[in-house]
Amino acid sequence: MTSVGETDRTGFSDADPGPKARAGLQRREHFATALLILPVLVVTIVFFVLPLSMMMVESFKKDGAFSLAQYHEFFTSPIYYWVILTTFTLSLITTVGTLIIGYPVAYYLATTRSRLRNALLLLVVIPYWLDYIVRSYSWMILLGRNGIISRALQDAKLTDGPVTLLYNTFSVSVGMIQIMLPLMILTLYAAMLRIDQELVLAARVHGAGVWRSFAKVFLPLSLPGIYAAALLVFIISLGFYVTPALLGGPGQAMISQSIDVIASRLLDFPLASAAAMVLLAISLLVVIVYNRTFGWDRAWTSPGI
Amino acid sequence: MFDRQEADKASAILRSVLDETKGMDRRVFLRRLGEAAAGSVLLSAFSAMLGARPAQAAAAVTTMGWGGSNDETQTRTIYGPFAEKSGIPVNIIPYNISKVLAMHQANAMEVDFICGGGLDTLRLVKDGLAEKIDWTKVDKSALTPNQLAYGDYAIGSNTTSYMMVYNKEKWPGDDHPKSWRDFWDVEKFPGARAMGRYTAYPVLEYALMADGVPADPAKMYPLDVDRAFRSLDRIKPHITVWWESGAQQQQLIENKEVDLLDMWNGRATVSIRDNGASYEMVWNEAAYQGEVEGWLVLAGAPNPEGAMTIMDWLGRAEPQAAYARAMYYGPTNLKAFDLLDEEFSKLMPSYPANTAVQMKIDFNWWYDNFDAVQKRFESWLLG
Repeated sequence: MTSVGETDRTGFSDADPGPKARAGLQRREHFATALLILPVLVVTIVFFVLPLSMMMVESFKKDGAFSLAQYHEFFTSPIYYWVILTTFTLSLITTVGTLIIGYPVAYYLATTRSRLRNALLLLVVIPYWLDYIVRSYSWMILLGRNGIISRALQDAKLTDGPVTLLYNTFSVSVGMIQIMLPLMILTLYAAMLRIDQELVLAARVHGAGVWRSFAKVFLPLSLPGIYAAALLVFIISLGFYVTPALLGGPGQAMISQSIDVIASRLLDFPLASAAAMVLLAISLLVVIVYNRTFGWDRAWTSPGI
Repeated sequence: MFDRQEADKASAILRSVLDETKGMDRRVFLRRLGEAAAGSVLLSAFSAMLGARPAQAAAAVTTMGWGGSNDETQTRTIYGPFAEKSGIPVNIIPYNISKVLAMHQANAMEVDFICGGGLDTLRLVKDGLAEKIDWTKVDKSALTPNQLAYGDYAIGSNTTSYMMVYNKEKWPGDDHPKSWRDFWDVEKFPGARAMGRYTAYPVLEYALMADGVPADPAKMYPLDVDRAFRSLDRIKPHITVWWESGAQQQQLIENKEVDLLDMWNGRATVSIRDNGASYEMVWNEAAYQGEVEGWLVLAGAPNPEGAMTIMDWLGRAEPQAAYARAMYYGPTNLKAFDLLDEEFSKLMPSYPANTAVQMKIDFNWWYDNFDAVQKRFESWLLG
């Protein structure tokens, strides 16, 4: 709150605007804030909340009346139980895989003084711009029975005949890890940039070795980044469609594929809506439980301490 | 206005290209067709300059396309010649039958006409989504009776067979897989196998034929579903890939991923005849879909006038023959065979010698049982 003297010096006002005017100013500020948020709010309500609510209503309707029939069918059918399990397994493999491969890359990018840093960052980002389908197809060429890897193995006399590395959990995992890797690296990198390197240096000064200063100082400080990146990768992986469809077999079917089959081949909109609601509920549940356990939102709220 | 005269002119263009390229391959046919279209555009532009009546620009009609090369081919062989003579442009949006149902439920139909794939024509007609055909606008005499399986509600379009395809390098002689029993016989015919998982039909029929049910609809239907799944259990460990799309089928044989699989005849022919895949098609015990797919005007179509106008074109022999030359799906308008040479006709699912050895799918049975069987099929695939 400004004093009379200060406003005098700036020359904006001769007198205290008074409590009434102050309240008016506050109201105007609230109004301005509301006005700024309004477009986002409208877009979210019209294009997200509204269709989602309609889908939710649809999922509880059977022959025009309220019913839990769809949910009953979804949870009692053995198909969807397996599909949800597969969805979780593949998402988990993807998360762990991208973390193992992505962490050293992000660490190097965040700590290096090399001029190559920007070039390397570009190399991380470029694949992210490529279409999922293109990237999945390229794996089909590499892993197929007459693909490069199969041929190399045959030429090296390591196998008797052609080998199929496609249509299994391995090929889907490889494809998903490759697609999600840039997101993992960039999220970790952003979080690691906020870690004060002087703290690592301080540990070194006090006699800690390279490994010890990393394990005791840098790694704990990067944990919020790991939590955030892992959650992002996991949640996005839950909704994968193209990659398991192209690189996997029936055993790698994920929930989005099931929703597509229900909606476009069985034409059962209520059941498809229920399945989509289940996917949404699972994702929300994961976020809530995860946040309670790891407090992943810290990645962006504090400078890593 | 697309009157009889204009329709005949459009037919004449296609007819001359078809005649001129008889015995030539797909690429030559498409090139000549392109040249003819360009020529007639020039001609009509020229006649417009001379003050002759130009094709009037009219309100567009909207349809759904199955995607990939099919949309482009339909434009070149079916919609293009029509649009040029009638002045009615044809918009194609991606095929999505659930979207059609959703539009219908919301009373906001945006599609005028459609060719329903697989079960979809039957579903649309039975569920009352098909508009009655106005026979004063559609020339019935240009059609053949078998195209009218849906009476006044749809006109038979080109037709498909689902068939066995084998690697000719692996089985070059006469000792190759010839029946579904052979497909199931992994001792006699070892090799990597693929099957379709897009729909449960006609996978269950294959399984029953492999188990000894004759390839005769009278003995096949109603399907013994339990027996079919028991038979499928036996082949399942030997299936490397379950394909989900036509493009994937082609990829499987063009990259030699598998030695034995089931394919849509059009996709198989493109890969073998035009892209040089050394595979062979087996017509024996192929599942023929007959006249189940058809053109129809959707109830509540935004441009019913335009839709009924194009209905007078879609079922004719000329566009069906032209489309067959490009995509290898068989004409149901039997007059189209007059426009195709004998050698080419043998590639068609609807060619009499082929229909004789095929098993015609009973889609009425599938209409009643699809939901339950498809769900069982999906869970069987995962199990």
